[in-house]
Amino acid sequence: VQNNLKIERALKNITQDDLAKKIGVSRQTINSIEKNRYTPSTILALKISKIFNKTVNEIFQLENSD
Amino acid sequence: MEHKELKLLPNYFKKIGLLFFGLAIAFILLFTNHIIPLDNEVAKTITFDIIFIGLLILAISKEKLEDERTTKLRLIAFAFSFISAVGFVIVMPFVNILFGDNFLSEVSSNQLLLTMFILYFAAFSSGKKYN
Repeated sequence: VQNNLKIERALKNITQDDLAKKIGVSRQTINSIEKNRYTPSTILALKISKIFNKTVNEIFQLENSD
Repeated sequence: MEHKELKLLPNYFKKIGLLFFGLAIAFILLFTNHIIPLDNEVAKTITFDIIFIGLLILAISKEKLEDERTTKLRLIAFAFSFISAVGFVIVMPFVNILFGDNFLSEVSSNQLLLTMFILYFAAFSSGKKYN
């Protein structure tokens, strides 16, 4: 799963730490998601998309290997 | 919907876990100074029991911020330590040969548990750092 979380975050001018606090996870978790080292659960993906007022599909996309 | 979650102790239990190491050191000091008169083997068993209780509490206490990623890393670390411990038991007799020990000498439960805890803590902390 790839994502454009970093871009969305930059557009909204939110730091990793701010986003992490808003959704109740650690900053390292946000960092891992952005670097595609960790795929969030559906609940976490929904929470993230809600922050950016977007659908989950607009932030997270399936890759050919998925 | 209810989800099955990994039940862990609150974060402040980490301090309680560390206290057990202090307790183990205090027990060793009391034993070596003959304040507590006990058989060597009994004292050894009690010391290891105190250390293992401390390690277990440390292993199952939550991080300051326990989220789904740390829970996943924790489960991976548990699996890694279990699989490695099985490998350790299988390989140890052959390692014993290399060092001139008896091939049939068995791995003690203390050795095995210590190995599992060390591998668990190593896997969990490296997972948190690099994943």
